[in-house]
Amino acid sequence: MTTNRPFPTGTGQDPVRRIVVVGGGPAAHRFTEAMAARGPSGVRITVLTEEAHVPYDRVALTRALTETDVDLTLGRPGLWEQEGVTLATGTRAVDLDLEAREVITADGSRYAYDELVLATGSNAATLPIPGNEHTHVYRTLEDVRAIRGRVAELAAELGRPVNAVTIGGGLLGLEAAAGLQSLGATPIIIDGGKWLMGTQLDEGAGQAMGRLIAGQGLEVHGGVFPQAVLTEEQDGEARVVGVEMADGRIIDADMVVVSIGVRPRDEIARTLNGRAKEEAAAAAGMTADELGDEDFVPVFRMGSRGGVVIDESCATDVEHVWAVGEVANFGGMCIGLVAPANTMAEIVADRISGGTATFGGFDTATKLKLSGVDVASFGDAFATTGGALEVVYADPARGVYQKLVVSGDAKTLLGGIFVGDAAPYSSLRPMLGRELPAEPGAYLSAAGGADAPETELPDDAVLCSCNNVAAGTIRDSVNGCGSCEGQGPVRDLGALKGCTRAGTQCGSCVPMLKKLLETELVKSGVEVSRAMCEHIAMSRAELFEAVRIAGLASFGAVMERFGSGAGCDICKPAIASILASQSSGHPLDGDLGALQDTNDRALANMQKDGTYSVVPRIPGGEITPEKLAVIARVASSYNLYTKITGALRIDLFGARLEQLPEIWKELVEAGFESGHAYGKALRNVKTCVGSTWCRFGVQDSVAMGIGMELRYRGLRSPHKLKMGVSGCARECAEARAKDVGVIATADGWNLYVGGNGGATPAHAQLLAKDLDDATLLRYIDRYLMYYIRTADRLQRTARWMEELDGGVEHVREVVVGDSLGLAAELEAAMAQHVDAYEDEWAATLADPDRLRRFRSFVNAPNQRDTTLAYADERGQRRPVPLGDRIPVGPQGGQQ
Amino acid sequence: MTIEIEERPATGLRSTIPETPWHQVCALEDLDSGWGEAVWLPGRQVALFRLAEGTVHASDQKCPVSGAQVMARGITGSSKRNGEIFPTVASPLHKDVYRLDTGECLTNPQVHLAIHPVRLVDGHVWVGVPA
Repeated sequence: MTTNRPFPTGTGQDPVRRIVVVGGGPAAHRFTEAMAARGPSGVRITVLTEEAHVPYDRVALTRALTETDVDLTLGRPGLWEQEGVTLATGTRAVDLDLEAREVITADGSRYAYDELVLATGSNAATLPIPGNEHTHVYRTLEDVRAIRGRVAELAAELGRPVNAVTIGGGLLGLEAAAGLQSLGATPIIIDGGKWLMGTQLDEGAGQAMGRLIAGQGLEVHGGVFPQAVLTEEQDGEARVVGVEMADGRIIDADMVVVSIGVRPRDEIARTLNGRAKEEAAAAAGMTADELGDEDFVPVFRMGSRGGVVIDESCATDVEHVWAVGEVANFGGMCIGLVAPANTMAEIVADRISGGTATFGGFDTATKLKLSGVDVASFGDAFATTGGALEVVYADPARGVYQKLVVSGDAKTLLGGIFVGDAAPYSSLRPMLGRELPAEPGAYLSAAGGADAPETELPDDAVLCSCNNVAAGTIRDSVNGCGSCEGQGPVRDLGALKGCTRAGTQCGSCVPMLKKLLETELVKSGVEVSRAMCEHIAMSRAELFEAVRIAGLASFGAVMERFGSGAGCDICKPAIASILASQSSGHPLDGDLGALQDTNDRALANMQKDGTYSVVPRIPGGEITPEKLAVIARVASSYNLYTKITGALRIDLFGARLEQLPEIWKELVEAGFESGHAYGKALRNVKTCVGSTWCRFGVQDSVAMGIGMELRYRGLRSPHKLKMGVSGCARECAEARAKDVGVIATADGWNLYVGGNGGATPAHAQLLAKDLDDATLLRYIDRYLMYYIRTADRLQRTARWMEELDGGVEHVREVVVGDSLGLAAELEAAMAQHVDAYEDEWAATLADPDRLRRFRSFVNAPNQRDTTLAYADERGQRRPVPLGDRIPVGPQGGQQ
Repeated sequence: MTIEIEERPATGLRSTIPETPWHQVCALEDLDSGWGEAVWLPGRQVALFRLAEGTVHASDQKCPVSGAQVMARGITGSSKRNGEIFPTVASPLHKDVYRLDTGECLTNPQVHLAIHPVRLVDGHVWVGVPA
């Protein structure tokens, strides 16, 4: 027997409380997080998981099917590095020594515990039919990766779409089938029930659901059970060829995924029960089989269909042993949903910390995450409560079915089902068990939903069921309860999510969350007006559309139509940017010059002493030695401090305003053009060296990057834009940290969008896969123009997508699916930009009126500012801090 | 030709204070509406702003926060407080907003921008700057 640190067994005097968690899924994660949040002094938490990963988000598992390198890790990354928290991966617990209070793992190690939490979750159930051993299940990251791999393998081998049969038309089965479809397979669903999602939907809803699913191109065989998975021997290997149904039909299949439910992972409890039974039998002089179950008291009571029975404190029958999540059987049920698992985890954390929280029962509300299919079910969806009334609206033509279940007096909301249009779900779900302010019918689409009164949620109504966040908690946070470290009142959605965790799991409550935030802000007197400033009452997106429709081209015209006063440093640059995005005027022409922000005004970046830095464009970071020598010559002759930027370019610092035209004259003559480092515009496209030189590269990332940089150069946008192109999956160009990231695949390019560095970094999310060159550029055109039209001022792509209802899914529908019918218009707008592009600096040098903007003094156009002072540092100059300067006369200062 | 004259407030001690030296710095047509220009005077740089309504304002060119000579490169505008509308300029470095009529900083009460009187005489701009 070996003993594992850090918890040597037998140290009964150890003042540290040892908490061991068996299992490493979302429930284990939530429990650990809840304990850690309590400040775990004197507590050591060890999580034993047989999986190789840190806990990940199984709710989002479908994403791993379609996205190659998606990160599903739950929670903040620091949790598992925190003191007092240990995660042991690849460690399978197999037995308990209840007397010694130790967990025994597969390799014989022992972990002593003071409190033990069983969070082993469940297994995918398998089909008891012949050929089952050749099927896939849909449960873990490994399962999903195996499915993805097999689809790719078969597609390559067969040279035709893969027939992928999913057995099971429940929530998970439908997600799996839709995932298989997006991998290019032909999705076929076999479901024994009369209609899909039989656990959540009644017959009417199921019928509507069936139509919607068929409309998505999924083939459904319902009402008949499969009786065998058929295989053929091929190269000594059994290959799946079809599924035989109970009625004798055979459905062609190249692969089969079984998703018919889950079985609790309760082996440890069963092992202990079995041993106890044998001991009891031996004591009675019988074999275990002879001993009747009624003559024997098990160590752990188990559910009839498995699961360790818990009471309302989530305690099992064994002292100091708790169970949470899918392995826990409460009221005769185990439920495979994340919301109750999270609730149980919080309850055990509370109990272990001396609290008295109790589990009130399962919240079985579910919403299906399929694009194009809106389905939700919650509460007593089947109206099993005595005297319950069902208020139904069905429109088969539109594929809409909506039902509210209310108490006999039609007042209290007991549950509901939405298919085809689940818009009312997010606002109604928190009202479960409460009196509705209006007649139930008012909330259904028949009434247009518009007559439904604004519902003021009670403080204790749960808004986010995944994370069990009550409306009151959201209100406290908005009003500055200070529960978030270093934060006063929370004023924006992103911060609110981070602080309360509401809306961070399945996301279905986000629209409700947004509404509650705005309501609270209005109440507390905070202006939630989208007005840009005191001069423009519209948001940037609204103004953009207004200017576009009215066809305005000057600041004066915009202010006359839509503004008041003389403008300011907020609306002037925003209007300049909007006008620049819609037409192709030079930024210094007409009344535009006076609108430009600090940097755009001089087409250079102002530094702390009022001088400028100059950044010529180096597309894709590719430059000839000769052009490099030009930069060196210019830097040297103007004594410019020279530094390589983070964007594969060279920044030249210390140019005075009146020097900018002469410096640019030399650069333009040598073939350089403006790098727009000064603009809210495309900055650069970072590339790795790609397939031309790199021995790993699969596509020519440099050529693509240069092409993109030349296409989008000069494009003015709500904030700066950065792009990256990597030549292979090693991702040396860090494309996923960019607003637009392109990563080469063997078959083309994967397009990622919405990545940002900066104060709140965000990884770009996959928008589309394996695109050819032309489609890639077309999607980027659409994405950028949609962003430029609809984002707020100074809102980068990540925050913009975060605030869009539907996030990346919505963007995908618009950009890839053209759901708004805007694609042609967006592409045309981009084509106009590409055609009208001219280098701003070459154009400036060619026009005396523009050059006039670069005089140092109106009464002495070539007078040098003699107050500038510099010191030498590492062979170059730097500004002398103003406090260190000696006052200088007319001859003072250094060049 | 309209002549607009702005004078410093008269005080009873006027005769004992040396007259502010006035400098003729440029023609009004050298200035673009909404756009600032710097003026080089011995020992002092001044920022000139011609506003849309035709008035010209002058302030120190030195940014009161950073000390850099940049105010003329700020964005001009207007603001309204308690029913009163007044012209403003935002420092180009950190966007502190100053009243161009009084020099009061709207975003940071700790600092103040020196404002100088301007005279427009026969299409020429004159600035009065203490010696």
